Amino acid sequence: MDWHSALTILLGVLFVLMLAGVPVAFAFLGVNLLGAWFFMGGEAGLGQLVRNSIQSVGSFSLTPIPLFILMGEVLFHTGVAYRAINAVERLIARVPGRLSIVSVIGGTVFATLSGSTIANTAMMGGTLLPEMLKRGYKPSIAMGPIMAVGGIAMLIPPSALAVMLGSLAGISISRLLIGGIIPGLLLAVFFVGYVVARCKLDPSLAPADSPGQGVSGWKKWKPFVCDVLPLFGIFVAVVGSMLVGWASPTESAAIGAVASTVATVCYRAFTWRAFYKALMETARISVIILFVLIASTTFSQLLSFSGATTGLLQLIGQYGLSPLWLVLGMLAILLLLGCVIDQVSMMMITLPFFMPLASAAGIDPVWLGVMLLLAMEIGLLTPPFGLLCMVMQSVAPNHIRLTQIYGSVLPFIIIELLVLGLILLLPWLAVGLPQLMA
Amino acid sequence: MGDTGQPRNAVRSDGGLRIYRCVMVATGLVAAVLFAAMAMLVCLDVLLRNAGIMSIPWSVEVTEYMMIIAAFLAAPWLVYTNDHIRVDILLRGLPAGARRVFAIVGDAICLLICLALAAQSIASMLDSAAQGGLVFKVLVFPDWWLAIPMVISFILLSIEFLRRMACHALGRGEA
Repeated sequence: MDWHSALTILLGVLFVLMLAGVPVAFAFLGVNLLGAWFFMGGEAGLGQLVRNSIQSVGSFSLTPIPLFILMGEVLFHTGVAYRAINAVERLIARVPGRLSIVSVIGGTVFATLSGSTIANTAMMGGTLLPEMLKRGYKPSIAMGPIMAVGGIAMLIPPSALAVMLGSLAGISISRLLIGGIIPGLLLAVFFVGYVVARCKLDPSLAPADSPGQGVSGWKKWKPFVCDVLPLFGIFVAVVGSMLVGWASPTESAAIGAVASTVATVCYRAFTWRAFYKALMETARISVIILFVLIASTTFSQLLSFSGATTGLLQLIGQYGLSPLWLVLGMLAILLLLGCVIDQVSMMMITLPFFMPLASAAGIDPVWLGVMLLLAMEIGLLTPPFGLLCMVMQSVAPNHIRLTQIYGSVLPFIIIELLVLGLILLLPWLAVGLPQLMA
Repeated sequence: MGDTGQPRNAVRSDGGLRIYRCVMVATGLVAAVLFAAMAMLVCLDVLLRNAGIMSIPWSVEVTEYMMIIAAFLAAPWLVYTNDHIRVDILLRGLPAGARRVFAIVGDAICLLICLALAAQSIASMLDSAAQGGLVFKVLVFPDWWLAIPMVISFILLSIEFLRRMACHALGRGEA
């Protein structure tokens, strides 16, 4: 069978199963069974499929996925994260769209403590959205920032998906994690700028706080000093232990998870019930990711065995595209895929093609990795399969329609595309910090 | 992706179903406990190593086995709670009857996939056991042990997809 037919069959069956409602992981497993039989030697191929599946998750480099998620979930379910958000809220006063700005800054703070985009959006949506709607904020300016800032957790360390990308693509995980810091902060700055400008131009979007509201002096700063600053100790423990060489990126995730739990004990917020909830939620989110990984590992081997990878790479090679055009093509594919499938599947389908292409063209893997992360982050927001839009729908009041959710996030998608363009033109934004670290 | 731990229309009064639900939730609980143990084990290793006391030589290897067990064992629990990622953009627009047909067909496809993988993983495990191969790292043990989580997982997944298919076919709504 030629590589065109093999590629068409493999991707065709995969997409048909996915669109028929078969869970993504099982769609991959179905294609693997067929592919292993036809392209990997029948019975022997099926045996290889079983061995691949077991080995795929038995890797120490993947352990930060559950551990980074555990960090955020523990802070979320014990209520420590809510206290931090309340403390941030007290500090921000007399600005247009104040609560929307609180959601961006609070979400960015939480992103430094959590590796889970879902936990980030669920927490901000569950706490700030009802308050904003009660105070008369229009849904467009209330929901958009919350969903957009949820995606920042994917860029700013700790990030479970960055670890997975680094592990699968063979990019240094610590450099990729550090490389996401500047783009993540840049996004937060642009989000704040947009909210302020939009609310200034149209004050009806976010009614101003009534005069006299808020506190001043030590009362204003005390919650920040007590409830937020100590939490940065967790971020310092995670990133610092990596930078000084006490722990590998994998081990730093364990330090972060334990430090978060210790922090909740220090705040007297730890309860066994909350800890149980945090652990079960960690298991749920982590196993969703890991099982797709189990199911899709053989898929990249099938692409290789069937000749599809080599064939497609040779075809692209014939066009003699410059590295810039190659990167643009990769980002366009991810942005398109992001509309219909999840981030883990996107990685599993595209990385077998992208990484050899990038390597042959001499593209900096950290620069590319940060841009791929940002493109996938945009996929968290783009309809119809934007995961964070669905999380928002699950926490928003019933009268909010899905179309309103899509509409509210659109300006933030444009901002993220703008930042993506900036990183493309100014690679230092992604590789600067990792180079300083080296 | 609710954290309900059970399907909406489950018949809770039935003792058999209650036991079944407990088994499913227990698989998730095992994964949760393993993730917590993993955090403590790795952290302890880092602390002891940097304090110059000792290093735990088997910590990396045991962590890898914990990942395998957690990922395979909790997969049936996620099917039970309807939490595996699905692309349902096309199905959402269909009328209820057509959605039900797709649900039954989808469950049947998943059942076939899981039965095939259960059979293949059992065959692979028996083959390894017959050959008497060993895993030789810090810990030494028969390599067929590594296939046990996969065997258990796909047997439980087959049962769960069969249950879901029956529920959809009998018109019990969301399985």
